[in-house]
Amino acid sequence: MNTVNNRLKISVVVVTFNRAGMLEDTLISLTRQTRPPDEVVVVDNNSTDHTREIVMKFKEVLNIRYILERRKGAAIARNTGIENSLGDIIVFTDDDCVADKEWLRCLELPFLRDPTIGMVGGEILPHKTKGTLVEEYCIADAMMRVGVNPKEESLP
Amino acid sequence: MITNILLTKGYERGYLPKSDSAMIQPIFATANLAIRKEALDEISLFDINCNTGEDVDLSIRLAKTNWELYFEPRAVIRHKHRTTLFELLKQWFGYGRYHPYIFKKHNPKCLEIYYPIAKGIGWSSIRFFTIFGLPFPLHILVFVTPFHILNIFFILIIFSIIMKLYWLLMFSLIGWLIGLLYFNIRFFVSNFNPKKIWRGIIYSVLRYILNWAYVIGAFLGGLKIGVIYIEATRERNPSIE
Repeated sequence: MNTVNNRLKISVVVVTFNRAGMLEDTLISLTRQTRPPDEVVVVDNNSTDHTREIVMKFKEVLNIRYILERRKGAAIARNTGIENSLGDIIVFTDDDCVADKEWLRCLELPFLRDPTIGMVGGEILPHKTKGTLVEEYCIADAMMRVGVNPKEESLP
Repeated sequence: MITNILLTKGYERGYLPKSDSAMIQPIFATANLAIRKEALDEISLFDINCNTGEDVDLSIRLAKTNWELYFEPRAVIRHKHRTTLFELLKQWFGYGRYHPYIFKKHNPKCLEIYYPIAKGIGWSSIRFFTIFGLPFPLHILVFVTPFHILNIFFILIIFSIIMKLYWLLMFSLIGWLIGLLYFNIRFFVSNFNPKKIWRGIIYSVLRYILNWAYVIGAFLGGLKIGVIYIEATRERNPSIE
């Protein structure tokens, strides 16, 4: 297991703007990965809330870096994240997302198995099953859903 | 999001099939995407001209190379949806806005019409690069979806009432009703439950409004850059749990 993990370095890049509360949940989920990220790069797209404080809280438990990108734009900010990443694989997720604990391990495997694979995408499920009418509509209408089946229970 | 929008049933696990046509290439969203640095170096970074859809553009550029795109459904991210209608409409308006830019970027001037041919990733397109022997002067992209057909019939109804054309009115009314049924039936067929009928109706209405936000966002985004763009709308079969 360890030699497999040492072959590829994984950087997780999260661009964030004024979602300190949600971002905290995202970062907590990164601390719970069975395959931990080698580094986490948080690009703050000029937030006015306590985003920076939240990121600093994770210094002890993650190899995390905080970068302030004042120029507005998700694409600009993501590029800043890329430029400040050292990984062989760059993984993106958003500040309104939470990762399952096998997320990184499952994302990494195809890259390890097949050198011709350039990009791996995963499934995006709803965070909860009940909520406002609008949230429940989004869930019913399979919004953001990528794959044909609900989350598979079995793992490789 | 373009391919994801058009799909009626989502990706299968594994290598994603590539396409000749830029707008229906396999794509992934940055909510859950991993890219090999080596591959990224070949295709350059995110396009900063897009405020949304930068992931669509990146995926299209990668799909054009020999690198493979792979879907791994066991790599799960849980996403928090928008909680209010206003936020949701704003989100979708934004999604549509930069698709015309992406279309223009990856295509020469032409008229491209997408139409469904089968379930799943069953879309095809016809392209016109010339008109009356002359090179096509604009970028025009049109997706033909049940939503659009429904609205075309509605426009025909109004038109036939104004022009007092009885037969056209009959034809348009029937077409519109069939379209309405087809548009809404998806919310009932996959998970039919008599108790859920009101939910189904409300969801259909929400989807209809959402589609408008998306289509208008894309159309206005297109006008800004001199592109006529009639956006695709959600075709995914929903379920009522």
